[in-house]
Amino acid sequence: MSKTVLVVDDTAFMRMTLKSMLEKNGYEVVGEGGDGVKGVELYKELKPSLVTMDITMPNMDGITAIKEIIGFDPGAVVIIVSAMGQKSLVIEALNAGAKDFVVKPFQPDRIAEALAKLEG
Amino acid sequence: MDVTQYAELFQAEAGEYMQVLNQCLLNLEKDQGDREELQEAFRVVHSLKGMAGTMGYQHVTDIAHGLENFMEDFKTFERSPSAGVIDLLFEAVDLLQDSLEHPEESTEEDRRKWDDLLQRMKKTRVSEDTEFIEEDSGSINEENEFNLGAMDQEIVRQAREKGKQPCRVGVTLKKDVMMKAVRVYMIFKELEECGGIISTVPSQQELEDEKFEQFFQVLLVPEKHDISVINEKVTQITDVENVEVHPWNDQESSENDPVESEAEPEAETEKEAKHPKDKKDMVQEDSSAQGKTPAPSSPSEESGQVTRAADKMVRVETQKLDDLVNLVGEMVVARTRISEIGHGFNEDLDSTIDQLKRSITNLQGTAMELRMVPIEQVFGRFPRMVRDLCREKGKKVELHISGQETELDRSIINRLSDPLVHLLRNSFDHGIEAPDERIKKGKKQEGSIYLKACHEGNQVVLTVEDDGKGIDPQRIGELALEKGVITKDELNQLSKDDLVSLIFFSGFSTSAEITDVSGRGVGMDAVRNSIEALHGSIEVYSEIDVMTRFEMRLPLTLAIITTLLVKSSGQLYAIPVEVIHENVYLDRKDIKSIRGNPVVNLRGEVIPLHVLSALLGFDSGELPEDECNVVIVEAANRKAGFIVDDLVGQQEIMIKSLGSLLKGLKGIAGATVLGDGSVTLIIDVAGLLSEGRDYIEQNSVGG
Repeated sequence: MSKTVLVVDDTAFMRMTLKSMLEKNGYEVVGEGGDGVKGVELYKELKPSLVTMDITMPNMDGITAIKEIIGFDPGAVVIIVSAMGQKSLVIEALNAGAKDFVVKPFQPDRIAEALAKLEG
Repeated sequence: MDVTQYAELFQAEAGEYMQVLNQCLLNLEKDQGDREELQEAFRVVHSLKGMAGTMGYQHVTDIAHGLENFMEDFKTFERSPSAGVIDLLFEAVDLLQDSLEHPEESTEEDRRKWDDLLQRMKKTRVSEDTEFIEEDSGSINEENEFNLGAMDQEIVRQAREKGKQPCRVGVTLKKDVMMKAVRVYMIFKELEECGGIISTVPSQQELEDEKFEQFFQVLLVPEKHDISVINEKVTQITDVENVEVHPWNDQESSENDPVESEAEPEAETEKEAKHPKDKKDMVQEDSSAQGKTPAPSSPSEESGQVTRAADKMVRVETQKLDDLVNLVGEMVVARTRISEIGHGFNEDLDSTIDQLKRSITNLQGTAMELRMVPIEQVFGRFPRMVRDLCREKGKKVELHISGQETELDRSIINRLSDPLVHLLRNSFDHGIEAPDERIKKGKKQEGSIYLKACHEGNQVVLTVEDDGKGIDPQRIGELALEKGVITKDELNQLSKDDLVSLIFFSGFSTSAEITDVSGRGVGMDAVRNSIEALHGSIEVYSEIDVMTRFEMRLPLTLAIITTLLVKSSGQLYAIPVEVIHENVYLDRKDIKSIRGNPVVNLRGEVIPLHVLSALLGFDSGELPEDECNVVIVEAANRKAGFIVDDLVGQQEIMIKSLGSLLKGLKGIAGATVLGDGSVTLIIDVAGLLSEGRDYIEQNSVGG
């Protein structure tokens, strides 16, 4: 059974590239959210096996969203997908419970690798 | 991964972001202390950077990255950007815009411009006393051994006493790992689960600053797990190439370099060798000192719109929409035909046809709505334009925009930009007076330009109004006389409004001065022509020293128009109703001749007449024997009468283009398929009249 993924990013462009990349690697993207609020909402609804989370987003940023998701489900597996230059934010997100991070622009094999490691 | 397929989506989204960015900067310029605007601008640039990076647009990414760094300082230090800084930001946004136009490659010129700006931005940072954080990793520490202070040595000693074997963890990261410092942080976090970190090579500070290539070492006193477990745990982390864990003997360091480790000043050692617990503090310091973003609190309204919209909307290629509208148009035609054929056969069929008709009508409405976009797309760039003009010309002008949510057909929106720019610049240049002149007149120093859009029935009304010096009808009249646009008699007869309207005639410019802005040889006639090409009309109202207002009326869509069907030499033609002035029924004796050309004197106005089929070149155009139907049309400020055989009736038709072979045919705007399946040509009245211009002009003069 393929793993289900929820993609949370404020740009449709990133959501689409992530989605196509994930699907190529055998994941099933079950939901897409454009901000943190939507991300948390969708997580509760879909209970995906993985979440990719952007950090800077309107309405609710990724870190708050991670906290809420982990609060709801301590076993949640969240991967941060963030642009360069947000070192301290990524660290904050890791402290909030994110399992790994990938930097935009990402190389597909890096994401695949991160995902594979989390599964293993 | 092939991302080229996303280039269009990228461009569309980047375009939206650029508008938001410009708006943020404009707001920031008004209120420099507005943290939310700064935060929003930052967020937008950041998102752009991520997108551009994924597309592999290097130059775009570079600019966004530089811009982001520059803005970050102001966010971090709670400092409001000065006017000079905002100018630099605007400049950078312009370069970003340029680079988006040809994102795949940057020219030498592009890069030089950006480097130049980057230097100036750096100077600003330095001059404003901002700590400048060099991004590039500087010198790489070549040292290979742990520097242990007295306290660290004591910890190691105690650990040994308790039978714990300190170990050296050598980690090699993969090549080209991004955000190495955060990877290191993750590795440290994992190691802390296993024990205490005593020291690192290079120092923790250097690791944080990413002043290392791929390899670093950690001196660890394990509390639990043995060497192989530690090895496995670290290897699990993404981007880790290789891990080596070996027992470490502190004697080797003292033996190798005993003096140095002893001689190390106390302060230095404390800074470099951290206890596990200190490390988190350091991270905290990092976020305040290097000033990374605090979580964005409440993003402003606009940002919400862009992203909320993204959730509810689907992006579709415009071509697909056009195809859909076309197909629906054909269904509408077929519907008419079916109801014609099927009517009266049987009651059930009739009611089903009625139902089908209603559904198709609704479908048509929805399909047309899909093509509608808010005029904001055009208006959005004007605040920035006016702001730049104010800077350049030293005038003070406030642009008031309203009704930007008004929706119009996409194809119309795309063609509105040029005429609107022209009108706005006209208002700015020739309308609004210089500040001192305004004060002399007792006006507010700051001029106002109002740009409005609203729906009125089946039309959209656009208004550009300024509170400037107005248009002097007398002066227009004199100029028109001078340029031979009107005669002396006409000058005396024309009303003030008529005189002002003369500015729409070609070759007419009231300003002696040619500016960069308007008056580059294209006058108001160009504006009028483009509005009329959209089946719209434009009028001007002015009061000296009070205001000038241009009012444009446009149809909601170009795809469907209302026409009058006429018959000429047995052929059907469609004439758009908005150019039709009136229909008259003339007796043969009413038709006079001037120099061999037929004219009619209609309520004192001499109007040239043409047999429609002859004007189109289909036959020689014999005048009818007795009575005839004449359609009086007016376009491009000219009137003419088309003699036709019959008026068939009014009908809404769907415009189809003629295809490349017949494109550009004078006098024909397109074709349409009627309910009975027959094809009819749509008359381009403005084109016909301008073609016959000289001829018509000759005949109308002297009337």
